[in-house]
Amino acid sequence: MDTKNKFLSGTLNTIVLALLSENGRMYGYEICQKTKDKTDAAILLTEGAIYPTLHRLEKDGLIISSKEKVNGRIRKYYSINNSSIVEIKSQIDLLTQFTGHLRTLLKPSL
Amino acid sequence: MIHYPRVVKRIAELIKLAGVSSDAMIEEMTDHYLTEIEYAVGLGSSEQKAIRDTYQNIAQTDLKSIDQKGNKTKWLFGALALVLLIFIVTFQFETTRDPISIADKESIALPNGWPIKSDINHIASGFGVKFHPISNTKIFHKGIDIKASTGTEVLATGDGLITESGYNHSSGYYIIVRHNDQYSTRYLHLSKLEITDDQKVKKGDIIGLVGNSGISLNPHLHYEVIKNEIVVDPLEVIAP
Repeated sequence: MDTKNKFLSGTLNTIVLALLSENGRMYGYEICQKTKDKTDAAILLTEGAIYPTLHRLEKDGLIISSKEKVNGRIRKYYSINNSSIVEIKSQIDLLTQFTGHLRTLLKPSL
Repeated sequence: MIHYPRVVKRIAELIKLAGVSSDAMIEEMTDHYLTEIEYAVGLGSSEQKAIRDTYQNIAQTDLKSIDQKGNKTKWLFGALALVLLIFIVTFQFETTRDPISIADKESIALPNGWPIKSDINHIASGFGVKFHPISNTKIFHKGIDIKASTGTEVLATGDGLITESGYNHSSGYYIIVRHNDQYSTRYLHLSKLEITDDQKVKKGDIIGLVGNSGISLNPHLHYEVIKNEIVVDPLEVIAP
C-alpha cells in the first residue's frame, strides 16, 4: 500500500459521507469521478476501495441505497440516512478539525 | 449509451474472474464499468477503444477483497462441509471396522447367516490369495468353498431379493441375492435352483441345493459376499 492509500484508508468513510452530504444521491462511479475532478486527479478512488466502503456504511446505517434502471441496467444509488445526520456531521467536523491540526503540525511556520 | 448484451456479459465474466462472487456486487460493478466506458466515449474516445481499455482495467484490478462478506460466508460453508465430511468418514470407518455394530443396526438385511443347512461345516478353501494346485499360480479366491454333499440345502444368509439366477459355464447354477444398498451374496456350483428372479427371500430360506456344476471338481458351495461392489471375506460378516 502506498503512502497516499495509507492516508486514505482512515479517512475514506468520512470523505464518502461528505460527498454524499454535498451532492445528495450518488452512485459508485460518480463518487470516484467527483473525487478525481475535485482533487485534479491527485486522489483516485479505486472500485476495490469505494464499494466495500459504501457497503460498510450502508450496513452501519449511515447511508441508504436504492436501485434504479439506467440505460437498460440496474444502478445502485447511495444517499445519506437522515436519521444519522447528526453523527455524520460530527464525523465530518472531526476530520476537518483534525486536518487543520495536521497542517499545523506539518507546517509549523503557518 | 452502451448496452450490447455481449459487452455486459463479458464485463460480468471479467469481474467474476477478478475474484468477485456475490451477484449484487457483480451487478453493481457491471454498472460501474459500463459507466466508465460511456464516460470515456463522452470524452471523445472511440467506443472500441473505451471497451478495450475497460476490459484491460478489470483484468488488471484485484477485486478479490471487494466482497469479503461473501467470501466469509463461503469460507464458513466450506468449514461446515469439511466438519460434516470428517464426521461421516469417521462414522463410516467405525462401522466398517466393526461388523458386529452393523449387525446390530441392520441385522435383518445383513447377510450374516451360514449358507448351508448342515452339521458339518468344512471350509475347503478360504477367502483371499491362494496358490492354485493345478496351474501353480497365485489366484485371488473371491469367496469361501464349503464342502458339502450334493443336495445339501443352500440357505439365504440374510433377507433380500433374488436379482439374478441361472447357469453359466464357470459358475454352474448360481444365485445372486441383493440384501441392501451395500451387500449382495453369490452362491455357485449348485445342483438345483429353488427360487426365481425377483423373488423376495428371508434369512434361512432354502434357495437351492449344493452341487458340482460349472468348473468344480467336487460337490461344494462357493459363497461370496460383495460389499459396495467389492468382495469381502464372508467369515467376517457371518455372525459368530
